[in-house]
Amino acid sequence: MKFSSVQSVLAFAVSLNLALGYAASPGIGTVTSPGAFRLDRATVISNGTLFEGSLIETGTASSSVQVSNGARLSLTADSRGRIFGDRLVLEKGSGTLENSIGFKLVALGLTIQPERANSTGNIVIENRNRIQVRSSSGALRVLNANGQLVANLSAGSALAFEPQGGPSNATRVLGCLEQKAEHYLVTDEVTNVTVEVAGSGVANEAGNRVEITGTLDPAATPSGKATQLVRVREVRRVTKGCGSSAAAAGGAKGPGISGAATGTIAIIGGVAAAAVLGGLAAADALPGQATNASSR
Amino acid sequence: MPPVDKPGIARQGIAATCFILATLAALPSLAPYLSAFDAGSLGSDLNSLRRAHQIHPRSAQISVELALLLDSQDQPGEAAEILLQLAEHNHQYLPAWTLANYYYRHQIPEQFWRWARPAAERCYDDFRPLLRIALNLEADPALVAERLGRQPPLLRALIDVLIGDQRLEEASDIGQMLALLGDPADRLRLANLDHRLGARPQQSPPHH
Repeated sequence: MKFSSVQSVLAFAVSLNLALGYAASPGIGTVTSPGAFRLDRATVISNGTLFEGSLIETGTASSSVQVSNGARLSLTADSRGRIFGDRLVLEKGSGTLENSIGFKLVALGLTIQPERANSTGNIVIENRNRIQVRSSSGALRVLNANGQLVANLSAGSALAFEPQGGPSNATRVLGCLEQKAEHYLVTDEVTNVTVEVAGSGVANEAGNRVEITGTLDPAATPSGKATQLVRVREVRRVTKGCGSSAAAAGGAKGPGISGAATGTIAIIGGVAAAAVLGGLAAADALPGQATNASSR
Repeated sequence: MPPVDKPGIARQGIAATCFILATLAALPSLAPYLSAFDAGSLGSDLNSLRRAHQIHPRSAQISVELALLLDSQDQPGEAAEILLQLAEHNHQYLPAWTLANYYYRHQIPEQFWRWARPAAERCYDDFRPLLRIALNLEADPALVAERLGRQPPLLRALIDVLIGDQRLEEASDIGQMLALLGDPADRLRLANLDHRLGARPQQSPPHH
């Protein structure tokens, strides 16, 4: 190629430069706000382009985030979160999923995953040890850092979670003990998580409402719809038969969104070790309750 | 002198007042849209945003919200049209900044630079967000400075961004641009930059 003038060389250089520009990352979405906010520690007015790992800090106004894959969420005022293509890691404040196609919220090591694309919900970081999760429409699944299911929230329910430190697989479930062929399953009344239970004394309580304490066996493959297998340490019958079980309907049994109280689940060593529904703990209806889990 | 028809004038006045009141009543009020917008509830409702935009086409924030929502719903042409209309009558920072971002996301560098420059010239706060996307498109900071107008606040911010990215040599080049502008207020900043450059660990010569 022969260039006849300096201008044509410059023009070629500019066009080459512009063409190289196409290789730049186009970003993963946009953020908008009626006011100013911080994006990657810089002040932005009204709107900005998001990149993988961008840090959003809202000020006095809320911000709306539109992710390129179609997910939409909002951060309330005075919130902070790091955004990725598939998740928002909430560090402070509150985030709401409005359109959740393939998108998750993460807070305090827990992952809140919508069961369907149209599931909507909200997470509030109440303090450094506690988050509250509310499902507005559709179900939300709450997973621990190992990807194990901690709770299933049905539409209109809310639960608070208090992740605790320390390695432990200790767990406890309360619900109707069902026999399925040679296997025994319990769907926890608070978390709505189904576990398979195995150990002595289990077979005698089939068909009863029981409280089971034991340890999670992460290496085992649970049966049927169960997501975890619990090696039973103790079985305690709560009622004969399951007729009075509070677990008649599906979904975690946190009160409705308008309810004043929210069930609390303590997550010890990554598993739901203690669940409290409303004021049951205070009434000592759930013996063995971890002291650090409390109802609101 | 003809007699004044006082009752006739009064009737006309009443009729005119009624007409004005009826017209005002027929017009949809902007207030609910704006209050909903302030509450952040219009953000994902395309119909409400369109209605708000029809009523108040010169509201920068409503135009921006509508354009970004349209863009996210695979209607980039209409999104660009709304932003360009906004930029026609609003020569402040926001339309230029939003258009620069729009063209950045759509990877149209010529249009990005066309709008990035007025955004830089009208920026009254933090240059870093604009500089970050500009540096994503153009790796040479000197060219970025050139295209965005080389004004002192921009050069200062560019130096800070480059120092933050550990690009000290390039920060030094921009420092020289800034020094040429001769503002005494920059002496300390430039001295600090020199100090950073001098404090860098020297690379050992290659072994033969």
